[in-house]
Amino acid sequence: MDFFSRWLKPCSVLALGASLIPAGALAQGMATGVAPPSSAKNQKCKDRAIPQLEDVTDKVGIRFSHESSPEARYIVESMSGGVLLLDYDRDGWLDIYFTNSPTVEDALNGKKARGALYHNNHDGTFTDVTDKAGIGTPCMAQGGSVADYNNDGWPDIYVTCFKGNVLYKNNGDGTFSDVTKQAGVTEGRWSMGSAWGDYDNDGFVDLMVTNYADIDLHHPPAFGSGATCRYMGVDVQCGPRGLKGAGDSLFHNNGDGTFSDVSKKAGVDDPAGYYGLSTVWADFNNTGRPDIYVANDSMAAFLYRNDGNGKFTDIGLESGAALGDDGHEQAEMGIALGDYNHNGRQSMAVTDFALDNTPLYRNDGKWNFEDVSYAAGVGLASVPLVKWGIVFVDLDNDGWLDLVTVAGHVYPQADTFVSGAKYREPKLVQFNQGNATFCDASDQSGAAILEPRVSRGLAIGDLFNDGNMDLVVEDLVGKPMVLRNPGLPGRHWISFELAGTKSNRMAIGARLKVVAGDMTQTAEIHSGGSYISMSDTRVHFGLGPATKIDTLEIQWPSGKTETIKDLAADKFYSILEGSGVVPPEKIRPVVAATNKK
Amino acid sequence: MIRGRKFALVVMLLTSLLALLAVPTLPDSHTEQLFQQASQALRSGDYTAAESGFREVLRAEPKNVGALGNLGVVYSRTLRYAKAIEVYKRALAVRPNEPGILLNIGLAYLKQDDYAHALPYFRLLHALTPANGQATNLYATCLIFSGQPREALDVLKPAAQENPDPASLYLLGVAYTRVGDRSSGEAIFSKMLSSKETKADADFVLGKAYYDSDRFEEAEQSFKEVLAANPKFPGAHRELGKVYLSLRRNPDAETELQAALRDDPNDESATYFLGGLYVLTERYEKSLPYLEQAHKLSPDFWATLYYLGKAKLKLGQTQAAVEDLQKAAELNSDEDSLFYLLSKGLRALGREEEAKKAMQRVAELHAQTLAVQKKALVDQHIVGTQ
Repeated sequence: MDFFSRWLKPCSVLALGASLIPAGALAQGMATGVAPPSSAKNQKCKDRAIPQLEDVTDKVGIRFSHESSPEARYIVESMSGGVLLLDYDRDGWLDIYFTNSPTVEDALNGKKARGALYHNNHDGTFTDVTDKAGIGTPCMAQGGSVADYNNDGWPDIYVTCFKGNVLYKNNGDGTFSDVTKQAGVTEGRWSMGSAWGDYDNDGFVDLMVTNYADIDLHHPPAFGSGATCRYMGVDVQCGPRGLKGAGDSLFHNNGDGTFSDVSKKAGVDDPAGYYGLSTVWADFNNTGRPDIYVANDSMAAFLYRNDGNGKFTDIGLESGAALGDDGHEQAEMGIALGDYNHNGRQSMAVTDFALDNTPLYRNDGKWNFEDVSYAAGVGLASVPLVKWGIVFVDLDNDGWLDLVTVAGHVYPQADTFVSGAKYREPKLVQFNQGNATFCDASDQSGAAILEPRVSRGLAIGDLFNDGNMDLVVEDLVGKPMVLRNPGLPGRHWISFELAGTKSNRMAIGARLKVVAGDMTQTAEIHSGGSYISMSDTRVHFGLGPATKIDTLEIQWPSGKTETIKDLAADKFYSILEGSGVVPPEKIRPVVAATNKK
Repeated sequence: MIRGRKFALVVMLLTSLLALLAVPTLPDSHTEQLFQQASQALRSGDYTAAESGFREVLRAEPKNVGALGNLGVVYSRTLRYAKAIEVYKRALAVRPNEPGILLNIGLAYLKQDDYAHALPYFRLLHALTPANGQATNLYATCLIFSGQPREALDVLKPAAQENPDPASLYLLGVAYTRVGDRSSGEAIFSKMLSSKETKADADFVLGKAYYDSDRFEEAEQSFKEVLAANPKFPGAHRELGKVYLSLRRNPDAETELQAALRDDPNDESATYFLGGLYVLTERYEKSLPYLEQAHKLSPDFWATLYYLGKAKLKLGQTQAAVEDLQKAAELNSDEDSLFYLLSKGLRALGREEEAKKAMQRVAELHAQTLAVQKKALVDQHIVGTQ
C-alpha cells in the first residue's frame, strides 16, 4: 500500500490518507489497489492494422440468455457465466456450452436455469442441441472445464456449481451422462474454478476444483447489512470478505474412470478457506510437471509448485505472483496464460476488481514473477474496470500474443456510485507490439468491444476454422457475445491438434515450440483458465509473413519430445504422439452411428 | 505530528483527550514516590524521565494499572503506538473496564487510522459512559470509518440533539454524506458553520469536512475560497495539496505543498506529504531530503520510514532501505505493505529466512483482517456461527 496512493482503503492504517475514491471498499472484491505510477501510460495503437471484431451472435443463431437478478442482492447472483468451447462430437469444429444459474428466489422456488450446448453447423451457424445432449440443467452452474478424463477420445465436461458439481461423460453419440458420483468427483461446496492437468504424468488427467464461499441460500447474508456489505457508501450484496470461505479439491484420476480425493495429501486443500475462483495448471518452471495457480478473490493467490512426489508447495507469496505490488490482496478472478514475450516461459495476466490494475506477472524463471503491467502498457486501461475473463490470443496473427479482457461490475448499484462506475462495462483489446509492451486498440477493434455489458466468461477458439481466433463472451446479464475475427490479409498461421497415446488423450500439458524464421514461440495446452471458462485446445500460432514453420518441437506430458520440420502455414495439423502429423481421423474416435444431427 | 489522516479535523476537535491515570493505591511509599516523580515528568514533557520512572514502578509492581497506563501515554506522546497499545492491553488485562485505558488504547489505534481495532474499545467506553460526549464521538468516528455510517447515525443523532457540539455535528454531517443523504449532511454542515467567525474559517472547516467525506471537488473549492480570502491562511495550501493528491492531480499537489512549505518550513505534514508525493511519482532521489526532514521532525513515525525505505529500495540502496523498513516495522507491526516491502528487500540481500519471516507476517496480517471481518458478520447475525 502506498499510504496516500491506495485508491480504496480498508479501515486499516493509512498514514497519508488522501484517497481518490471514498473508503468503504470492504465488500466484494475489496479493491485496495495502489494508484498507478506516474509513468503509467495507456498507449493507443497507431500505424497498425487492427482486425475488426464483429458481434455475430444473432447471425450465427445463438439465442441463449443468462438469467440474472436486477439487484443482485446476493453474491451467488453475481458470479456465474463461464463459457466452454469444445468439439464434443469430434467433427473438427468447435461447439459452445454456456452455463447458467438461477436467481436465489428462483432457486428457492425450485426453478432451474437452462444452460445451452450449441453445435457448430460448419456453415457459420450453430444449433441448440442442449436437450438431446442432456446437459441443460446440471445445477446452479457457474463455469466449467473440458478434458477427456477416460481417454476414450471424447471430450467430457465438468461443470462447477453452487453445491453439486457435475461430471458429464461424453457418450460419443451427442449425449452426455452424469457420472459424478461413480467417478468420485462430488463436490458439495460452492465451486467456481476447475482445471485438468496430469500432475503425476500417468497418462490420465487429474482435476483441480476451487471453491468460493459458504452460503446458505435459505439464510443468505442480508443485502447491505454490514461493513462488508457496503461499497462506496451504497448498500450492496455481502461478501466475499467476511463470509466463511471454502477449501479446494484435487481429484487424482485412478485411470479406471474413478478419482480419489488427494487434496489434503497433495497440500492443495486450502484449509484456511480462501475464496477460490479460477484455476489453471501450467508448467511454470519447465520441469515437465504441471504446477497449479489459483486466483483467490480478495486474498493472496496460491502458486502451488509441483514437487514431483504427489505433493505441492504454495510458493505464491515469495514468488511475487500472489499479491499486488505493495503486498495488498487483490480480488483475483480470471487468469490468462501465455508466453507473450517469447522468453519460453508461461507468464500470467490476472483480472481483478475495479481500481486495481490487472497484474501482468512476467515469468522470469526460477519462480520469480514480476508484475510489469504498467511498464508493459496493459495496467492503466484496466484500472477502472471490474475484470473477469482474460485471454492471451494472437488476434492479428503476427506471432505475438495480444490480451483481451472482459468486464462488468459486480453490483448493479454501481450506477449510483459517486466514482462514476457503471454496472455495464466495455472490453479491453490490447495488442502486443513485439517488444514486451502492448498498445490499446479497444476503440479500434469494432463497436462491440466498447458496448457496455456485464461480462463474465471469455473463451477463444477458431470457431469458423478460418485461421483466425474468435472470441466467445458469456455475460451475467442477457445474451452472450460471439465475436468473429476476420483477421488481417497477408498474415499466416498454423494450428495443431494433438492426441496423446502414452500421454493423456487431449495432450493437456503438452508444450509446443514453433520456430518460423527468426521467431520462436512457445505454447502449452491448458484446460480451464480465463474466468471459469474453457478455450480451444487446438494450439494456434500466428506466423506473420512466414509461409511455413521450420520446426515444431513437442514436449509431451509423457516426457517424450518430438520434432517435426518444415510444415506449410495456413493449415490445421493433427499430431498423434509418436506418429507425427496424421490425418485428422487418426486422432478422432469412431463416430457412433447415432450421432447424427 | 499531523499525519494527514482523513480524520485530522475530528482529532483536532477532540484535542487533549489522552487520559493521564490517577495516582494508584500503592502500599509501598518508595514506589509511590517513583510514580509521582514519573507522573510529574510526564506532565512537564520529560518523556525520557517519565518512561524510565514508570518502568521502574512496573519492575516493582508489574500489574500497576496506573504505571502501565501512563507508560502508554508516554509511548503515545512519542508516537510509539505499537508499544503504547501493548502496555494498554496489559493494563486492560488487569482492569478491563478502566475508562482511561479504554480511551487511550482506542486513541492509539485511531492515531494510526485503525478504526476497526479502535472500535471495540470505544464501543465499550461508550457503553460504560453513555453521557460522555467524547466517547460517543470517538465511537461514531470508528463506526463511520469502518464502513458503518448507519450505525454511527444511530449513535450520533441523540447526542447531537442533546449537545450539538461541533465535533458531533461534523461527524453527523459526514455520516449522512456517507450513507448517501447529502442534503442532510449539507444542512448539518451549515448549522455547524454558523458559529464560525470568518468566512475563511468557515470555508476551511467546510473544506476539511468535504475532504473527510471524500467529496474532493467541493473540498478543492472550499480551500480555494479560503486562499482567496486569505492567501496566508495557515494550513490551507497543505490541505489543498492533499485534496489534489486525492484527485490524482500530482503537479497541482506538488505546487500547493511547496507553497505550504514556503509559508511554514516547519510544516511537518506538508514535508511528509511532499516527500511521499515524490516517491509516488517515482522521483526517489528528490524525495529523500523531504522524508529525511520529516523523519527528523518525528523520528518515531513509521510511515516516513516506510517511504524512506521504499525510495532507497528503488534507488538500489537496499541495505539502507532494509534498515529503515526494519525500524518502521518496530514502530508498527500491523502494516502488511511494510512487511511485504521488507521481505522483498531482505530477499534481495539474500537474507532468505528473515525474508520468509517478514512474508509470514504479511500473511498473518491478512488473516487477522479477514478474521475480524468474519467475526463482524457473525456478531451482527448477518451470517451464522462460523
